[in-house]
Amino acid sequence: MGDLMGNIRLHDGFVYDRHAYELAPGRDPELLAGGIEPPSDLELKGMEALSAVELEVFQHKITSIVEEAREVYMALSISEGIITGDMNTSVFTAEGDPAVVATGIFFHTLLNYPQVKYILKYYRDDPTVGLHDGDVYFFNDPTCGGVHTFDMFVSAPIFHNDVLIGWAEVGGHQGECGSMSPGGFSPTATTRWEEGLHVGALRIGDNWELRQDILDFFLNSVRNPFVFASDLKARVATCKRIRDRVLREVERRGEAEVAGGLRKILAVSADLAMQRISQLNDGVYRSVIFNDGVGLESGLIRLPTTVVKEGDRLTVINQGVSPENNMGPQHCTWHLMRASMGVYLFTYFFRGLAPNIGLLEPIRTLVEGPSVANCGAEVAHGEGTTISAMNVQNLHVIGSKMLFDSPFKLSVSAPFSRNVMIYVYAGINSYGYRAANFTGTQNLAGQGARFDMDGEHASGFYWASVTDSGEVEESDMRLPMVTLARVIDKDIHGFGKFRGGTPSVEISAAPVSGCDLTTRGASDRLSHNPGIFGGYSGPPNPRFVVKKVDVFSQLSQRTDEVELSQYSLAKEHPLSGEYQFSYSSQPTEHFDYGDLFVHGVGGGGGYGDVLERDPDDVMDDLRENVISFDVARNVYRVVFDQDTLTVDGPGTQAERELARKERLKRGKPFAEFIAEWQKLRPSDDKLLYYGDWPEPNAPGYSKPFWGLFS
Amino acid sequence: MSDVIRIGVDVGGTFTDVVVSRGGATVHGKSDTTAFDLRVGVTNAIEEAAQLFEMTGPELLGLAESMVYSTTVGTNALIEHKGPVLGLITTHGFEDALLIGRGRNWADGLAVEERYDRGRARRPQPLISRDLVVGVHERIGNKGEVLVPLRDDEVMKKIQYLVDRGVRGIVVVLLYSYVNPDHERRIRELIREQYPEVYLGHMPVFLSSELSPQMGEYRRTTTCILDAFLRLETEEHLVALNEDLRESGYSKPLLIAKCTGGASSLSRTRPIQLFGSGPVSGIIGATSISRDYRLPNVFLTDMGGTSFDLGLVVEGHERIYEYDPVIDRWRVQVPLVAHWSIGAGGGSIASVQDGILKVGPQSAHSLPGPACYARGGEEPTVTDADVVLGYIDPDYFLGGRIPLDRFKAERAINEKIAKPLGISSYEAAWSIKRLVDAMMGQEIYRIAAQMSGLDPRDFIAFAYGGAGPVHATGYADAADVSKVATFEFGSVGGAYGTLSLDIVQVYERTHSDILYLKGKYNEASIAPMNKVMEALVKEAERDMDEEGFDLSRIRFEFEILQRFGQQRHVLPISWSARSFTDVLQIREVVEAFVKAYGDAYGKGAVFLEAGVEVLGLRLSAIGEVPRPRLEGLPGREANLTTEPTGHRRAYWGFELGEMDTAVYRRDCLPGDLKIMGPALIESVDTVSVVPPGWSFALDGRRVGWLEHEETD
Repeated sequence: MGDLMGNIRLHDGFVYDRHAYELAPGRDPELLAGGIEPPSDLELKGMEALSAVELEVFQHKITSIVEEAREVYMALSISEGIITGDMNTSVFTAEGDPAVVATGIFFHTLLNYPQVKYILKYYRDDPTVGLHDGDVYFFNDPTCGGVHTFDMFVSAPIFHNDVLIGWAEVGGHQGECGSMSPGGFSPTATTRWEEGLHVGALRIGDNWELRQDILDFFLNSVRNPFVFASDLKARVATCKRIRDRVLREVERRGEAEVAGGLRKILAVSADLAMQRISQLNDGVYRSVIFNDGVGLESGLIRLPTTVVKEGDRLTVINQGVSPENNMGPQHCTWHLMRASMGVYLFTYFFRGLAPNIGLLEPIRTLVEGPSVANCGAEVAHGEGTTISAMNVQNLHVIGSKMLFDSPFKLSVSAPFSRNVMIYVYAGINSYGYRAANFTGTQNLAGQGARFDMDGEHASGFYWASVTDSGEVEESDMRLPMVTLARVIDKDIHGFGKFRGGTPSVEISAAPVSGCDLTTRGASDRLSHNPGIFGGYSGPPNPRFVVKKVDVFSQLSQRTDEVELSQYSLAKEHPLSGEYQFSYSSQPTEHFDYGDLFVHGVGGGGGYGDVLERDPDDVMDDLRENVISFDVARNVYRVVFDQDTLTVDGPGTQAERELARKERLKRGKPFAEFIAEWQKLRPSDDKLLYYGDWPEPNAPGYSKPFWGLFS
Repeated sequence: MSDVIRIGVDVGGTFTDVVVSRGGATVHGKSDTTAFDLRVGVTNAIEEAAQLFEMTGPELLGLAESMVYSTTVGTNALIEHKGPVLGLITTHGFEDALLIGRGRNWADGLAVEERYDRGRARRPQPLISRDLVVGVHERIGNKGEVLVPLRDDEVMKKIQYLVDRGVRGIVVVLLYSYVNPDHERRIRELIREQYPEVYLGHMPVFLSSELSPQMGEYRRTTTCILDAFLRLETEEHLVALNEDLRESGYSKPLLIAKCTGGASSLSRTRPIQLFGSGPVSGIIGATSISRDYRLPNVFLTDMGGTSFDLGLVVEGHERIYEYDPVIDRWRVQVPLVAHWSIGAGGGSIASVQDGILKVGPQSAHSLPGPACYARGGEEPTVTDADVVLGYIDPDYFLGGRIPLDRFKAERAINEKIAKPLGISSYEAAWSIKRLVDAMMGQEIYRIAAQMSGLDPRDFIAFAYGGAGPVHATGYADAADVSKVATFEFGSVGGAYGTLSLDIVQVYERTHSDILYLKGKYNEASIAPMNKVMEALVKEAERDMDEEGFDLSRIRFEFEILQRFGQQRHVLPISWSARSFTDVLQIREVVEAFVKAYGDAYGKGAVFLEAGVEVLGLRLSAIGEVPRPRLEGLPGREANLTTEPTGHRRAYWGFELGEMDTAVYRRDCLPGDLKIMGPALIESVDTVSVVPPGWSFALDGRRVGWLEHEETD
C-alpha cells in the first residue's frame, strides 16, 4: 500500500480483515474471508483457449442461462420476496466462486459461496457425505456465508463425465424460517438461537430428488410448510435447469472452455475494476451514519466509513464502530458488510460493468470487530442488513464525491432510500391459506436525487435494482390485509436543487379475520438517507398505526372526503381511533378488523442547495402532491399564488436573497464551530450502546472527527 | 387454385409492404412509409404490386376479394403524447397507481442494458396528468363484496371537476371492478345523467370492467388509457383510408390485422390491438407455412436495419400469448401474440470499450446509417462488417438501389475496431459478425427454451428481413438449430402474414377459484366457471354475428389459466368444450395442467400439495379464412441455371481465412440443385450466406433451405 494507507492507524485488539468468530462445524471463517480461488489446471487450459470475443460470447451465454433460470424461479415460487425479485440464480466456478449471477439483489452475487467451498473442503472427500452428480445442498446460516436465516439457498454441482465444471446455485428471501416471530424477521431476538433454522450446508437430495425424511424435518420446523415445500421444489427445479443448460454448453465447447470461461470472467472483471479505479482521484474520503435503535429499544449506534483510494486500489475501512450489544438482531457479519457494498458499487460506481465478485478484487475490506458491524456468532443476526446498509449509504456518499471529477459523473447521486420500515404479515388470507411474509411494498422506495435530475418516486427496493412491487389486487389476495391506498405522499423525500424520490405509502387494514403484524426497521429519528452537496436527507420513518379505528365502518358512514394518506392521517387524524407512532422494530402484535397500518419505505436524499431549485419545478411538486405549501414557501423560499400555482419571479428572487443573507448571518469561523461542536454530547441514556464518546473504541479521544489518521 | 385476389398490407416504420395473392402467384410491392400521411405509401405500394399483374392500383383494388391492413398508426401518437385530453376516475387512494405502476415500471419497454441502469432510471410521462386524476371514496373487496359504498354526490363533484378542466373522455378504473363492476357502471350512469350527449357532445366513458376485466389495477388502467388515448387518431386514419379505398374501387370490408393473431372489421377492432400487428402477422404467416411443411416448432426471425425480431411456433400453435406484454413503455393486459425484439440489426454499432469488443445496443439507424451508406455515418456497424467480409456486394445492395462504399466500411472498422484491438480488418469484421450472431442466437435459445419448455434443437428457423439470411447460419448455430428456411418474400413477411389471418376475437376474464386441493377435485368450481364461460361465448357470438359470420362455422377455443396454489405465474391449458359438465372434466383439465407444468419445468417442480387454482379464462372465437399456399413464382423457368453468376473474395473465419466464393442469383436457381458452402445466394433484397459446412437448396415452392452438413 502507498503513502495514504500508511497513515491509517487501526486499533490494537480488534480484527479488521476477517470475521470476529472462529471455526465451527459448518463454517470456516477462512473460506468466508478468502478471495477468488486460483485457477485449476483445467481452468487455465480453458482460459488460454478462449479469445476475447469468445469470452464475450461465452459470458453472454452463461448470463442468458441464469436469466432463463431467474424467470423459471420467479414463476414457480410463491414467497412474496422471491416473486418480487429478492432472489438470485447463479453459476459458480468449480472452486465455488460466483461467476455469473442473475439477481434482483446484488449482495446475493457476493454471498453463499463459502458454503459451497465448505462442501468442497470438508465434505467432498468425506465418505459419509461425498459429492456426486445430482446432489442437492441446502443452506441458510448467516454465519456460514449467508444473510439471515430467512434467505434460503440450494446449490448443486455440475459434473460432466465426473469432472466438476461448476455449480448451480439458486435462492432468495423466503420468509418464514421457524424463528420466534412468524414470517422471518424477529426484531426482539437477541441470540441466534431465537432465529429459527440454521443450516450450514446440508445435502437434502440425491439424483435431483429431495429426501423425504429431510423434507419432513424442514416442514415440521416452520409455520407455513406449504410455502416452504413449494419454494424448495422451485429452487431444485431451477438448479436442474441451470445444470442442464451448462452441460449443453460443455457439449458444444468442451469441459476446459466452460470451466476456464467461468474463471476468466472473474479475472477480466478484476482487471476492468482496477482500470476504472485508476481513473479516479487519489485521496481519503469519509462519511458517517448513526442509527437510533438496537432492536429492542432506542439507542445511538455509529457506523463510520473511510475509503482510501490509491492507484488502482480501494481500501474500505469501518473503524470506530459501536460495540456488540445483546439487545437485538442488528448485528452484521464481515462477509455481509463486504457483500452489501455491491449494492452501490454494481449499480453506480462500476456502472456498465458486468456485476460479479471479480469487481471486488481490488477492494480491501477492513471492518472493526467485534462490533455491530463485525460481530460474534452468538448474537442475533436477522437485521444485519440494517448495519451493512449504513456502510453502503456512506459508500454512496463517498462514491459520489470520488466520481464527481471523473469520466463517470453520470453516477453522482444521493443514496437510494434505506429508511425502510417493513411489516411482516401473518394470518389467513381470503383464500384460506396461511400466510406469513412481507409484501412487495418495500420495493417502492424513493431514489436519491441525481446531479442532473430529480430522483424517481417509488422505484425499487433498496437492495435490488430489479424488483417488482406487484399490484394491490394481487397482494390483497395473497396476504391477510386489505390495502386501502397506495399513494405518493407529501414531504417524505429529501429536498434540494434536485429532489429525492418519494416512496409509495400504503395504508392497509386488517381483514375480517384480523392479522398479526411484526415490524422491523431503523431510522425512526435519524435518517439513513443522506442528501449530498447541500441536499436535505430523506426524512426518518417510524412505525405508524391506528388502532380501534374500524376504518371500513367509518368510511362507509362518513359523508365528507377522508384523505387516505400518511400526511393527512398524521397531521389531521381524520378518523377516530388510537394513533400510535413508535419505534419501528416491534414484536408480533394482533390487529383487529379495520385497524390501520401505514407502510412507507422512505424517500431519497436531495442534491444541491434548495435555493437553486427551479421555482417552476417546485410548482410541479405541488401539482403532483409531493410537497406541501409549507415546504414550497419555507424550504424552497418560493413566492407563489396558492390558487393558480404561478410563481412570483421577482418576489422569489428577493426571498431567496434574504435566505442567503440569513445563512451568512448564522455562519461562524471553522475553529469557533469546532470548539462549540466538541462540547456537544448526547445524554447518557442515548449512549448506552454507543461505546465511548465520541470514539467508541478509543477512550479519551478528543479530536474533532472520527477515524484515526495521522 | 382460384383466381381470387387477396391483398395484404403492412405499414412499418421504414417501408410499407404490400403482398398480393392471385391464384397460385404471390407478388409484392414496396414503398417508403410516408409518416405525414400513411395512405400515400399504401397507395404507392399497391400501385407497384399491381404493375406486376399488368394492372393499375384501382384495377387491382376493384377485383380484390379482401384486404387485410396492418399498421402501427398509434406509435407516434404515443411517443409524442398526441391524443385527446382524458380524465381518470379511480378509487380514492389509488390516484397515483399510474405513476407508481409496479415500481419497476420505469424499466418497462427499455433495452436489456437500460433495464438494469437504475441510477439513470426515468419513468415516461403519464398519458393523463396527475391533476386530471380524481379519486372517489368506495371500495370493493377481492370477492366482490362492497366494503365502502360509492357516494353519488362525491362522484358528481369529481365529474364536474374533470369537465371544468376540459377533458374529452373519462376513463374509470376502480379496485376489483373485474369482480364487481357495479360501482363503475354507476359512475357511467351518473356521467350520462349529468352530461347527456346534447349537453357536452361526444364524451366517451371507458370502463375498465368492460375493456379489461382482469386483476391488476395498474395494468388495467394503462390498458384502458391506451385504448382511449389512441381511439381518435386510429379511427380517423382507418376511416379515411377506408374511404380512399372505396373511391379507388375496393368494395369489400377492410379487415384490420391485430396483435391477437387475427383480423377483424374496423368496427370490431380496439386501437390497442394494432400494436405489433406486423410482426404478429409474420408469425401467423410462418405458422401457415410450417403447416404446409409439417414443421411443428419454428423460430421466426426477422433481422432488419435496426432490430432483430423473434416469434415462435410451438407444436403447431400459432397464437402463444405473452404474459404481461409491454406496449411502448406501458405494461398492459392485451392478448398479444408473443414476439420479442432483441435489438440487433444491420445498423447496430460496433465499438471497443475497456479493450473489449461490443456490438449494440446503439444503432446508426437509416440516417446516418452504416459507414458504407456514405451518408455521414462514421461508426462501424454490422452491415459494414458484412461488406468487408465480402458477403454483401456494394453494387447490388437492395438490387443496386443503394450503392455502398466499401472503402468507408473498411476504414470505419479498421480505425474503430481493428487498430484498438490490434487485429486485421477481416478479423475485426469477422469478430463483429461472430459476436452479433452469437448473441442473437443465444437469446433465441433462451426465449425458445423458456417459452416452450422444449430443447431448441427441436426447432428450425425461418429467416426474414434484409439481414436475416446474411446472418441466419450464424445465429442458428448459436441457437443450436441446424436448418434455416429463407423466402423470396422474406423482406415483406408481415404483409405476407396478413393473408393468413383468420377473423379472430379474443376475450379474457379473471376468474379465481380452487380446482383441486388435498386430493379432491372441486365440484363447486363448475357452476361459477360455467357462468363466466357462458358470458364469454355470448359476447363472442354477438361480435362474430356482427362480423357477418355464420355462427355454426365459428370455432371456439377456451384456455383455462391455471397455477399451483398461490403462485403468480399461470399456464394456459386448452379446453375445446364451452363448459364443464362434471368433476371428471375438472380432473381432466387439472391433469393437463400438471403434465404441461412438468414438461415445462421438470417433474420435480410439480407440487400437487399446493392445490391447483384457476386464475382466468380466455376465449378465442375463430372464423377461418382461406390461407395462401406457397407456390413457385411465374415466368422463372426460362432463366434457370446451375452455374454461378460470378465469384468474389469472402472471409470465412480465423481458420479458413479469405476464400474465392461462388455467387448465385437466387431467382435463377433450379429446384434440384444443392449448393455447398462457401457460397453466396443473392436476391434483390438479401443475400443468403452459406458458410463452409452448410448447404443451400431451393425446393419446389422456391423456399431456400440452409442446412448444417456437419454433426456435433
